[in-house]
Amino acid sequence: MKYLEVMATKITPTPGTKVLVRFGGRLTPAVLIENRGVFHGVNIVRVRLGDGSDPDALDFELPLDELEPAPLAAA
Amino acid sequence: MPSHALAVWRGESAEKLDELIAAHTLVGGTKPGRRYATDQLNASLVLQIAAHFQLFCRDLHTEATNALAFAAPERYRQVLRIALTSRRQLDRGNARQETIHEGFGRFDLDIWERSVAFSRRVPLQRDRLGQLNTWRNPIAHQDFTFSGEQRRLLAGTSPTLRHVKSWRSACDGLAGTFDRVLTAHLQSLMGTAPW
Repeated sequence: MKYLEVMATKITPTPGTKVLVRFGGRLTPAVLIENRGVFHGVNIVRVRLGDGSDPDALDFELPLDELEPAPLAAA
Repeated sequence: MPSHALAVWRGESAEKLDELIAAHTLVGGTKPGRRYATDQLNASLVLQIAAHFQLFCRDLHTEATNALAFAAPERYRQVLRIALTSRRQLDRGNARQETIHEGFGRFDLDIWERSVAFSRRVPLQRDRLGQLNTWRNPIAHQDFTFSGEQRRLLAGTSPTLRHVKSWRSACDGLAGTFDRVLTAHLQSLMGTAPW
């Protein structure tokens, strides 16, 4: 993979970042709400499904490297 | 081998709590205003101990989830992660008896029952954790209205350094016990040491 491609897919674990996560059999919009830190070499983050406007939407933890960047228009 | 969560509780978290206790010692003397300063430090210690213990519980839960997920076939790791961490009460409220039970119950573990079997000090430590959390919310919201049940739990206690130290000690004991109990439980599930 070329340097620019790596940079294009890397997600910074900053709360508020819009991402895509695999949920319900497809890529679903979500918002990174917390960087939980590194556990045994894996950076774990907490995400909430949706655009961040619903505080009761489902939230859960995933490794940072399993998130996909949101399309620019949604970010 | 202890969990990373226990290492953080006994390392970074302990250092931060020690700094506050050291500040308490520095606010010495008999001048007017000392009492106000120590009251504020005690209140801060109550909030900080509760916060760091909640962090310990969340970290231990996340670490256990991570261990189980990596022991599972890759195709359903994410299913496991979502089932184990979604809407976890420990993320939204204090580390109370009920939220701790709800979180670790997801691993098919009654953490309180196992902890009581592991150490006879746990019932007293559990009561002290209840006292800490019952003082924590009024301090955070500056509303010291207690229910009858809360008054019974808090009888004979106050947010003074002596009690603050006993609450911290109780959390420390529970942290060590939870770590041992969960490690053994995961080992029985996975057939290998989780960390």
